[in-house]
Amino acid sequence: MQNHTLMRRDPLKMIGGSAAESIENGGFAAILARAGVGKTALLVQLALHAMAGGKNVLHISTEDPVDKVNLWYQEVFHRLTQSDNPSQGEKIWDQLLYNRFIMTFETETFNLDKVQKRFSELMANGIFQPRLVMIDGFAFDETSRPQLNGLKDLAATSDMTFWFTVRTHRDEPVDSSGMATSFAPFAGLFDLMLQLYPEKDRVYLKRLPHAAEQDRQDTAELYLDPATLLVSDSPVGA
Amino acid sequence: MSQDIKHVRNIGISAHIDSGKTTLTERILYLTKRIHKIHEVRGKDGVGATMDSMALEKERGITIASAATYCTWEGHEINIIDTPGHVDFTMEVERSLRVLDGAILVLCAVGGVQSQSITVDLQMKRYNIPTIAFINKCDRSGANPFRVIEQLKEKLGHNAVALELPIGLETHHHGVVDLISMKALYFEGDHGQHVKTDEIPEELVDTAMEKREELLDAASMFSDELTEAILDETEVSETMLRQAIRKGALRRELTPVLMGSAYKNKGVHPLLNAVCDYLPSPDDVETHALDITKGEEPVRLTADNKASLVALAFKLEDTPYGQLTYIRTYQGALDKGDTIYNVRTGKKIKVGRIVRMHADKMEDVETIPAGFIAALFGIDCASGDTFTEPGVNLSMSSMYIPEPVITLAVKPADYKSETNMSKALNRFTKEDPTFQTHFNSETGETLISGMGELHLEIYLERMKREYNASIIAGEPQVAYRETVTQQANFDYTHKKQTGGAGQFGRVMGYMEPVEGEFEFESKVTGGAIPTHFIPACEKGFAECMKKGPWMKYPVTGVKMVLTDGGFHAVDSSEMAFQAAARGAFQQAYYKARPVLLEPVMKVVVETPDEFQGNVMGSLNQRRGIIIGAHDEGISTVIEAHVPLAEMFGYSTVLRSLTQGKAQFTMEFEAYKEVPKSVLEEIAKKNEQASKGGKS
Repeated sequence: MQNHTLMRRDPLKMIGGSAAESIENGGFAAILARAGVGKTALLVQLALHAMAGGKNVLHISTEDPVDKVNLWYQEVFHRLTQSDNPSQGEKIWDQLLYNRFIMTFETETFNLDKVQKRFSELMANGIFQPRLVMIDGFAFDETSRPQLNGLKDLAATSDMTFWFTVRTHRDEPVDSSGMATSFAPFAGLFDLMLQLYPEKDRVYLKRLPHAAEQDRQDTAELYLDPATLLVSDSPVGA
Repeated sequence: MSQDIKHVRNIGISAHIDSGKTTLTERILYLTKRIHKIHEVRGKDGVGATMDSMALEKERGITIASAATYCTWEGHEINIIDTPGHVDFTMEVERSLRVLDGAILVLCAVGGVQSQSITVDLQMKRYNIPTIAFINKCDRSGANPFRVIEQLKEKLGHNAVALELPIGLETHHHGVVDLISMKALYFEGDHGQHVKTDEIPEELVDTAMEKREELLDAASMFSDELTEAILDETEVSETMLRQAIRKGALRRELTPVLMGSAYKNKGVHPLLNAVCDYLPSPDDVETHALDITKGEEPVRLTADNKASLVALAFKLEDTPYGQLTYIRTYQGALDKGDTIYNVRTGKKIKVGRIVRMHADKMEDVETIPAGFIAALFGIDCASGDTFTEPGVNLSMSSMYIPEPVITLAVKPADYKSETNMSKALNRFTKEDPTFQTHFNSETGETLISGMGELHLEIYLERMKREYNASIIAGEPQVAYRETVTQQANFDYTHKKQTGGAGQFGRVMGYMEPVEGEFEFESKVTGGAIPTHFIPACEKGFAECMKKGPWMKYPVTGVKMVLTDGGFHAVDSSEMAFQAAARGAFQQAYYKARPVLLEPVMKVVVETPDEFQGNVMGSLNQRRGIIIGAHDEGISTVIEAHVPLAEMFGYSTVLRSLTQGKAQFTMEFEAYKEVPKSVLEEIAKKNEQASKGGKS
């Protein structure tokens, strides 16, 4: 699978700078955006790339049922591999499934305690050992801070990377770095933060600096192709 | 027959065994004056043994379990359709359920939501059927209807809300309080046929007010008018409240709950009213047919008598007068004497006799309006066939019939069973196209094939129960397939010249993988093989597809392309070219890297939270890929893809892993390549079997 498109297109490498390194040995990462901009699509691209590299991905969603999450993966996979040999595609897809586990929750009953409990069950029974955990649809508030701290410890001790999607709101005030103020109190927990923001007919992808690296500069300009929602680095307007 | 579709209800009564479905059905038929006597389910000796409903029906000769029984209530026509109690994904189950527009879910006030209630509720959920609940047996010791309502919410996820309050429970159960009219209802007369309305007993007034508030709260979500009336503290009319409840129920976002005791004749009248008030008419339900001429594109149907006819034959029954075909019209009316078109067979049929089934007799009718259910005599068809007007190519179910994935050998235990078995098999194959039978002339065995272990088990059980055939069944066998994965050339000459007429044929070309079963193409030019021998080559190749040269399983997904060849003016014959084609197939087959395919099933397990780790582990052990798990609060739904070969006996394993609290459904997903390690095992087993056969 090494030469497969999935392996060649690493969204984190495309972002450049130290994005990939910042979470190499586990940690917290976030994708911030308004509703409908492409958070899940980006999350799934990151997951597929990791799966193609043999890493186990646990995808947790509080918004969509299992079938819909699976459909996201199928669609992004097909878009990413369109140029490849279709008969190979099916085989690769079958192999990738071994590296993925979807867990969905009802929004009302979801909490991080449950996630932690499920983790231990999966690992204790040897069912699935995730390296990446994608949590789509978690609402950040102060009551969940102890659990977040617990997960952060888990990430550090077991080399796991937790990706969260963070939904911001159109009218929400932002701080000087462009981060939504409702999320700012949690920013300290994160090793990498990516923001998607729509402008005219494009969705741009920008890395937000965290407190320790206010002077960091990333040169690459990335955006999501509005038709496919795939990360693209073609020059704007091309 | 009323022509107003708004007053028609096609409903099913779903229940856990022993929650009183038979008694309730019987009371409904009595109150709607379809039967004139009530026979108790319990035996005369008073021992209390509950007879099974099938035996009961036979003894009394009534047809409460017939496919559809018709009755009337308050100007409404109600068809009660028999609903199967198993969730295995068979075509028969799918058809019975799609005929329903709404359902009554019967629950026991003592037992509450039990595992089978979960099963039948799953069926309704899957087909999006609006449901009202009836909590029966309020007269029994330990009855607690409000605990059952809580279970409906927690275990089944219903937004359940009581429309009634019991007046007394257990031996003191006398009637119900109607929370819409705020009146007490008592059921008098020998069989509770007279309803007496009275004021709410004083001790229940507070509880009734409180429960009515809950009802108003829940219903107001579906009506702005009601919300305004509540906020303005103006009078909430009964009609306004009923309309709001109906809206919620039709969307499956609200489950109205009624209660009583069918055995003691309490609460059945309001239940019948609720069927009319809160369950949909055929007009309220969106139905689609598939346009066969446009690649099975869905087409919306309208329950309009003037539109062109689309009707579904959903159940066949043997009667002394011949085959009775139950039919539901979805669009257009069907008249006696009409010529209709069977979309599957392409045959035109003239409609002779149309009848509708009452509890114990049938009545001839002239027409079936759109959305109604009736039965036809003298129509030769299979269950699931769609009838339309000639020229209309719409089908109610997909014409695609999946290949069976599991086979087992059956033989009758005695002579009498032999005839009964063949009668039963004949009937089942007509009912269900996914159930197939073959006679293996090599072994002299009858083989039955279907979509899963449970699927075949159901038919074995039915053979015993309905046809009195004792059957000895063999071990289930997985339907493996072989296929090739790359292109390979062949150049094969069949030559035989040992006395008598010689044989000569040469074929050249290549074999390659293809989607679908089998394809053949001839690119032979210049008469290298005379045209009249080409079909013989195709026949020779096709024969090899039946039994693969490698593992002896049927071959699929192969294209044979003939590019060149040679012949002899005297010695070439059709037989010679067939033999050459067979030789060429064998020659190319191994070069084309054959692989073995196995059926992989989509398995969905619903388990209480505490067992999910065990369940996932059990699926993992079976070479399953867990696609995902959905947490529903107290239960978890796990979806996995598991090879069928690993699923034999899984129901027993699951039962012991989860104290019988989990259940699973299984349906065919796809054929996938068998991993190498497993392949060796299969080869070894086959080798042993063939050795055993020879010794």
